[in-house]
Amino acid sequence: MNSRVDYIEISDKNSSNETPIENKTEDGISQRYWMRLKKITAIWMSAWIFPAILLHIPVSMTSSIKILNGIPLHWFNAALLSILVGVVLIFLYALVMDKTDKMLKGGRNSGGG
Amino acid sequence: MNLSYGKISIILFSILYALLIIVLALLGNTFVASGVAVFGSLFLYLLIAFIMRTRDVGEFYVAGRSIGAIPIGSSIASNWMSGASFVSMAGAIALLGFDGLPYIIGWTLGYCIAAFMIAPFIRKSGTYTIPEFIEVRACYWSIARLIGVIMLFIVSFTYLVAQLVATGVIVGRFLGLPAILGAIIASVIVVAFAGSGGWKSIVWVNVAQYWILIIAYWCAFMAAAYVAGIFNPWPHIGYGELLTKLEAKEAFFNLKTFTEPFVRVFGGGTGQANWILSALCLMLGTVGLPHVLSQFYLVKDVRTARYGVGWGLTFIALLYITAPVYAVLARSAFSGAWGMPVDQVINLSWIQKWVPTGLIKVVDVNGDGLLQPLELSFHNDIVVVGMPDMFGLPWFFTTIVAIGGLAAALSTANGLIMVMAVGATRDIYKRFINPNASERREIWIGRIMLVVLSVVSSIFGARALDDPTFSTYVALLVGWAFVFAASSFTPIVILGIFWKDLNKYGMIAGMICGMFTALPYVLWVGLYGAPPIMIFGSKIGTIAWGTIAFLVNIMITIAVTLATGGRKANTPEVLRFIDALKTPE
Repeated sequence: MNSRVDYIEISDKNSSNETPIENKTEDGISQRYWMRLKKITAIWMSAWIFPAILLHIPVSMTSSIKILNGIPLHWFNAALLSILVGVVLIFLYALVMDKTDKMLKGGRNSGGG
Repeated sequence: MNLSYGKISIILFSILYALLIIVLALLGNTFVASGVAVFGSLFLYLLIAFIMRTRDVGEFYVAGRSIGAIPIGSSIASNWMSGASFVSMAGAIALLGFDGLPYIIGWTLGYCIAAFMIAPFIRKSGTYTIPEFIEVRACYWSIARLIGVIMLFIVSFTYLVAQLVATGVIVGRFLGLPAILGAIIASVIVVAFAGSGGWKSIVWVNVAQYWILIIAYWCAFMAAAYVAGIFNPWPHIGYGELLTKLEAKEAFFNLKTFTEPFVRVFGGGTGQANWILSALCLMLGTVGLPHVLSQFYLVKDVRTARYGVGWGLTFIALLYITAPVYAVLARSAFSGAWGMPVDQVINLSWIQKWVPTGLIKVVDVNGDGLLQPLELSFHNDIVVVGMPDMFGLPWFFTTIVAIGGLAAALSTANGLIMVMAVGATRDIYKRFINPNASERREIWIGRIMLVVLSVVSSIFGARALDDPTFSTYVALLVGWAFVFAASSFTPIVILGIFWKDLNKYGMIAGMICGMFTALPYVLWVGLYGAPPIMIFGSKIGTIAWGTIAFLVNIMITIAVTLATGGRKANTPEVLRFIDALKTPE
């Protein structure tokens, strides 16, 4: 099993807790972290459905609405708005995950949540 | 050579490079100035690659996992945006109108999936390649890794050939050199980038190439937007009046209007369901492409991975939100010629310049002496490469676009060749042939692989440039790469992270069934022209079908996993690996 040996031989330079075969979980905190992460992921993936799918369903209605001196709304949604919403979603996700990481670090240090 | 010395070298070179171009331009020798500008950009990339050279295997494979969020965002963006994105996408939208917009949302919003469900976990896994991740997740089953490497090579190699073709075409069109020579030069340069420092060199070359390509794209766009008068107050939201005029003209000539939805064919299908499923397939395929996933290994930590993807999408968006406006500008320029006497049209300076290249065709089909819209046909590429001429911009805008196009094509080729070299070295040589290879030997094997891949891809690139039929197949395969990635890699990677019960039987069954759902349909409808299946009244094209294959993969994976004992079939070692992905850093 050469691959397993590799993980030990070539360790990560920047992070001490990433070797795959080492079990570094602190069960309580890790489980809570994972539950929270799953919830955040579910919320953000649900939000992603809006720019990726929902925004483009009512095209028969949005194509008759003109904005900004003549740009049809269905075109504007796909050509600009969806992408901007996607960018905002990723940065919001990163900020929320930062907060979650910090909270968990606090929990680890104090032994509480 | 230390970094500060390297930085000084880059700054000095850049100043001399700019001065030389200015002096040549002032002397009136615009052709030489253009040549110096284009080839000088190549020397700049070589200089960066040389400064970042390394003999450390960790730096060669994963840039020492040391890249920050904004640099990796730039690298993600340039690695993603190929010569086709730069040169052809705006043209595709100019031809397809609203029905071409799945390209825009499909090739951007996939990065949301990457940020929420893949990138941080791939980084956390501590693996070096996606085939390696798949092997570990499949209980260290070497066959899974082998399948992963084969998939990686099929997708990346086809993509690489397409990039070499694009580079050849760009060099040919802008400098008048034979396209095959352009493709060979590109492959040699890419090997020099990658061979000097592996990912460490490539990532910083990619950073430089991103900023050059996006500045080039925006320069020509902003100047054309200014001439067209769409700064009301900003081009991206100020083209309403221009679009209204364009569509009025289209209506006058009894054409389907530019923004009319679901009236043109996309990926062999039509209708709203095809539009949405195609966009979804492109999103799901994006995050399954090996050269996209490989970027997530290079970052400092999990937090950087999240922000890096955010910056990556931001930088990609700068081009993708601009392409639809580019398309409107180009279509408006074309519409300006509709109804004019053909004699006058063929004397327009930009028509005169581009007709000999074959990118524009003017044929008075009905012989009435007036140009009807369908009598002026154009190739996708003319929208970006011809924009400076359409709007009467000075000569140097064409050179800027050439430099940007070259940067776009090379930056994607960089990543592709590196992903394959790492796959051949780490996933084949180190894993199956010589597990005890020293670091020094590994790097040399990596460099040899780069040369071999370069030679083989050059041969295929030259063939594609020489044979239009072969070239068509390459283009089709690149389009279908998203279908294959969405139907094979993406579901396995996502389920492998989020579903602890997933076992190797489910993974393999899912990948095989996903591919066997996608492949026959793609061949049957895409190659043999069979009628597409109808869903919700829409003809489902080959790209849209990738979403169906993705769902089939998910269902089969879950069913087979549950039928084969789920979690019980995983070893404790693998369960610990999955747990480690889920812990905070």
